[in-house]
Formats: sequence, C-alpha cells, structure tokens
Amino acid sequence: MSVAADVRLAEAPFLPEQELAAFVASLGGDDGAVASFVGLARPRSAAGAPVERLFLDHHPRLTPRSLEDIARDARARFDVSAVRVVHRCGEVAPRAPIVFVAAASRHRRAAFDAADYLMDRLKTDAFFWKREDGPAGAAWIEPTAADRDALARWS
Amino acid sequence: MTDAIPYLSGRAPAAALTYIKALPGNRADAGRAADGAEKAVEERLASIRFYGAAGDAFGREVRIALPAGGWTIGEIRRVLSARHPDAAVDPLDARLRACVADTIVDDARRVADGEVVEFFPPLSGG
Repeated sequence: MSVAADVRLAEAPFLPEQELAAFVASLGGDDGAVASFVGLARPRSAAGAPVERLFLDHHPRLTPRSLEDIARDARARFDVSAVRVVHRCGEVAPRAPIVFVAAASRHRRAAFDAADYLMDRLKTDAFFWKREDGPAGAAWIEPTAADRDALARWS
Repeated sequence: MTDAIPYLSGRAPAAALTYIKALPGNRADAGRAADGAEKAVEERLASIRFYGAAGDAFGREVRIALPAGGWTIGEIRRVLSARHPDAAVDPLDARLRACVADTIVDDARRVADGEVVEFFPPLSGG
C-alpha cells in the first residue's frame, strides 16, 4: 500500500476547510477514518498579555525538512494511508490558523493517534522560532514543559 | 578556544573590529578604498545569518571580512560578543548553535571564503 504525505510551509493564510476537503478527496478507497486538527494563533500570551501578531521565523531548507521528517515518522509509526501537514510561517494574525494536520486510516484509532503525534512533534521539533508581538513589546518563546511532557508520551 | 590570535583576545579586539567594518552597511566605504589591501579584505567575505531572537539582536544577515586563513566559529562568536556587549542574545552561549551548509558545527570549524554561517537560538517549535 502506498503511503502519501503532503507537507506544506505556507507563507500566506490558508483555509483549514479547504485543506481538509482536498485531503479527503485525495484518499484511496480503503480509508474509513480521517482525523484532523487545526491550531489557531492565540490572542493572548501564556501570561495573559495581548498578542497583536505572531511571527514565525523559519529556515528556508531546514524548516521544510523538519516538517517532512515529522510527517515521515508519523507514517512509519502508525497504520495510516496518508498524512497532511500545513504550517504557517511569517506573520500570523491572532485567531488565524497556524497549523493543520490530518491523517487517514482504515480505522479511527490510527488516524487519531497519528494526528496527536504529529502535533506533539511539531510543537517541539519543528524548525521555527516564534515571537509574540504586543503592546508591551516582543517576546521570543520556547516550548513549554507541557509541550515536552506531551512529546514524552511517545517515547 | 585558546587565544591563539592576539587581536581576538581581551575585551576589545581592535583589529577584528577593523575587519568587521566591511559589513553591508559599510560597504560603500570599502568600495571607495582604492588601495589593493582594502580590496583584498573586501573579497574575503563570509555571510552570517541570524534567526529568531538572534536576528533581532544582531540583524538578520551581516557580512564579515575574513582575515587570511579565515576565522573559526569560536572567533566569530567572540568578535560578535565584543561588538555587541549588551545584546539580548549572548553569542558565546552554547545554546546558540552554529550551522554551515545545513550542518551544525562546533566552535573549531574554520569558515572559508564565501561560506555562510548561520546561528540558531533554541527552537520554539510550531
């Protein structure tokens, strides 16, 4: 069975519903489950301060490579037929979609698990530097302990 | 990490800063120099790119003129440290990883003509 992965680094806003529709349309006949997740840019920082925009700095080669590595690992780890990852870079407005992941499989558990795994890996291992800009200034952020704990579930 | 190159030791590596004056913002000065020595300096350039917080601290990309034989990553860190003593990112911090040709390198790596050095702060994740 061929396993497809579609990874895209998006410099412009994207519509999660279009990504999901395209993903479903691309599937073969044996799939019985699709799980997807959409992450939105938060309007407030972890400390509660307003965030006017999020800036995701990226590397022209290593960032796409990190997304591909994570998608490939998900395909290898779970019994999925296809995965899709779309991740924004550049300036992202509050509440705008920042990440979309989807996974398809014959039965639901593998699709749920693969989507969950994709997000945990992306939150810590994706090659991004993230800055929150607000009225009080700009702050570069790093993965939280919760992010690391989430990733540890898969080790 | 020894001070093998005298002008890089101590607080103010004056000669190193002379080299680094041939940065993008100062290239007009370098271009005006008619003598061969300055022209030779201008030709031995390495680009340094900074990402994340380091980009805010040092600029997204700078070019440095290399002395004969090039500089090591460690020496470049020390020049940056002397040039930006109050930067929000410490160039000497090992968590600021150096990368050449998409490969993480250590401080002993010597930078050759035309190479691009990239400095990566800790990743934020997606």
